[in-house]
Amino acid sequence: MNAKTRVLILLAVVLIVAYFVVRQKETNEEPIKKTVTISSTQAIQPVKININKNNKNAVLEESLEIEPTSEEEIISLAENLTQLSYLQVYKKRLRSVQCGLLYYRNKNTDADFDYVTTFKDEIKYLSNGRQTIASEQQIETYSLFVEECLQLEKEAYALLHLKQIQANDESTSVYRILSKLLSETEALSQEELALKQVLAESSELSKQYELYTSFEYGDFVLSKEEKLELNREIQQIRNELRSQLKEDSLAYEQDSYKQLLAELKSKADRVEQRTGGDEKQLSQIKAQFEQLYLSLESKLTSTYASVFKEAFKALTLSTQMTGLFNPEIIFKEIEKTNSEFLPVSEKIYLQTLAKDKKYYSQIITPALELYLCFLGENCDSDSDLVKNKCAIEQSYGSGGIFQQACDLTLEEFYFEVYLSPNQVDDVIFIINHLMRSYAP
Amino acid sequence: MRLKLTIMLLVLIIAYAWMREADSDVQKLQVKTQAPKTLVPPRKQHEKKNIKIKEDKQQLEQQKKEKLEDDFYHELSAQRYSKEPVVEMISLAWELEKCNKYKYYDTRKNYYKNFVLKQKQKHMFEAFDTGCQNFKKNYPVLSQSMEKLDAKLLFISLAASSPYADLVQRGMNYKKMTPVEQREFNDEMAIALLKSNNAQLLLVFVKISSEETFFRGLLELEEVLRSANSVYIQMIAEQAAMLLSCQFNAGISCKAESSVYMLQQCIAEEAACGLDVETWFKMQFTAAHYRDVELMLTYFKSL
Repeated sequence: MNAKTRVLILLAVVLIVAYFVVRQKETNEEPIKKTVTISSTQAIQPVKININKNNKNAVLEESLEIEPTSEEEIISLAENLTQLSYLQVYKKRLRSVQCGLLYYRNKNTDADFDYVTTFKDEIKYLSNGRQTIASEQQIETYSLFVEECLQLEKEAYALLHLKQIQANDESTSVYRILSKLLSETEALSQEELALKQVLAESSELSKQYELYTSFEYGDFVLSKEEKLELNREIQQIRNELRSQLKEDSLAYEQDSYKQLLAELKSKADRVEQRTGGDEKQLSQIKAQFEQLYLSLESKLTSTYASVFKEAFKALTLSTQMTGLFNPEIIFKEIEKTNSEFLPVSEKIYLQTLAKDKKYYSQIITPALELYLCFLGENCDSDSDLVKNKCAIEQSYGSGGIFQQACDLTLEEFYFEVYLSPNQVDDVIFIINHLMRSYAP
Repeated sequence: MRLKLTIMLLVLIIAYAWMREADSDVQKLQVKTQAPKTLVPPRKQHEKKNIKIKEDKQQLEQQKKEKLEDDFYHELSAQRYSKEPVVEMISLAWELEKCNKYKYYDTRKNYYKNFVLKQKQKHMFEAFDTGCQNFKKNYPVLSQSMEKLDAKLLFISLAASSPYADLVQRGMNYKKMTPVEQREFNDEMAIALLKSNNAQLLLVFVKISSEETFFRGLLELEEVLRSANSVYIQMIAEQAAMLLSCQFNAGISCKAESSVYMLQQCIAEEAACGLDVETWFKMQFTAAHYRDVELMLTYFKSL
């Protein structure tokens, strides 16, 4: 083999090796990419699973794991509640209603969810667009509120954990735990005794009210399953009607639309159809209802703000817990109620302005809250009522939160910031009416 | 022998590599050569005929459309609301909307549980019906044939030569604006509507002011009422704009037989039937409430 041949062979070998190396490299590239993709999705998934798995119990376990979790610690948390007076537990329970949104978030988000940053981000929405940056005071008030709510949650679940409160459902709400505790706490002072009485009557009234309405009209003709099925069909018709209107804004003039509407009406009537009232039972319940209604009405003249508030809430005949001064709920109930027992807010409306209801709904809440101040409720700038206006209350009907409220008393806030000077006249008119009718 | 084998192997490898390369080139070539075939299929005689018929039909349609457009321009020339065709178009469309609303209630009323029209309510429905029939008679294109025209294009072309061209142009791109631009636009629009001296455009203000963020920029509203309650301010602004609208176009937006608002009140409460907006407000509002509406009304007039 001469040198020339050797060079040629060497060249051929080099070429072959080079070719395979290049091919190998090419074929290798794809699997590498795939591996990257797989590992990146794998890295995201567990986080998602964690979020989905979060629930109230998990949050409790987590918080107890992070902080000292000795049995003594849990007992001490529970004792924070068990040592409270009846009135104090009642106030904690009221607070737990306001903490509701926070608890909901706690249940559905990461354990390290940042409430205060979210508050700052949402300030525009919370203040109905008047404000874009949260003031220092608002941030401080809100931070304290978050702390208070989360502490209360821990305490309530500690109580549940120690089985000091029996609950059927382990994921029961803080409100329910506190309600149970309230029912087991002894009322000692005059105010506590009166409050316990009014709460008992209030709960009885709402039971009687449900019985009354069910006996007034009788039972539903259809079974639960039949109603469910029919409601499904109704939804389909509604969707169809909606899509027809979307396609043609004058579709309601068409016969096919009218036919569908008639079908919808007949099905909706069928769902609502009841067997008719039972006169004998109805008159019995009516008598009991009337007795309770009058008893609660007499409690509107109580010297205690808490008693007035609970009696008023009960007499709105609303089954909703937060329905106290929420005008929309009050009016929904008015529409629903055909009985002679008028919700108390409707009575006040008829006795005072008896004018535009939308306007009345704007002034009844300030009037009632200011009447509570008259009864002795704390309405100073450090009170819960004012803190609500400053950074906590988030309902749309009230117009949200106001940074001007943080330094003022409730009266100053309403009269100088929230209400127009003209509205003040009507609010004072209603307060005077409340005083004439109910003041002790 | 070894050398021969090596060279053969080398040739085979190179040939294989060339073949692979050539394969992909052939594929590319095939794609290139096949594509035009599908684009220019041989046209047959009967298809040509069809196209001719189609073209004639299109021409006829075009002529019909042009005739319809002429009729539409004629409808606008009555100038009931404005000399500006684009404003006239919006105002009439809004008046028509009232008839659609009425028709909707008229259909729905039969399906409300236990809803029986009382005498006065029945009378109001009849009066509304007559008004709407007349409107449709006077504006047949606007009320019945608008779907055959491209309303958006018409609107743009009418707006192009009006003082509102810029506003309309910007309004078309509303969704693309930044929040700050949207706010500025809303303010400008709100003021333009309030200063329009046009009953229908003031009703447009009433309608869009219920949008949560609509007049957040008009900060004076809080100062007018000296109230920080935005829900209340919004309510009063709507009512004041409604009262302001009563002063234009012979009170069409406020009269019992032509105000949708009063028809709604009449359905809800028989006592409202036959009353105009101003009388109803005076009856319904407390003195304090009415004073706030008047304060806002004065402010709107001063803009």
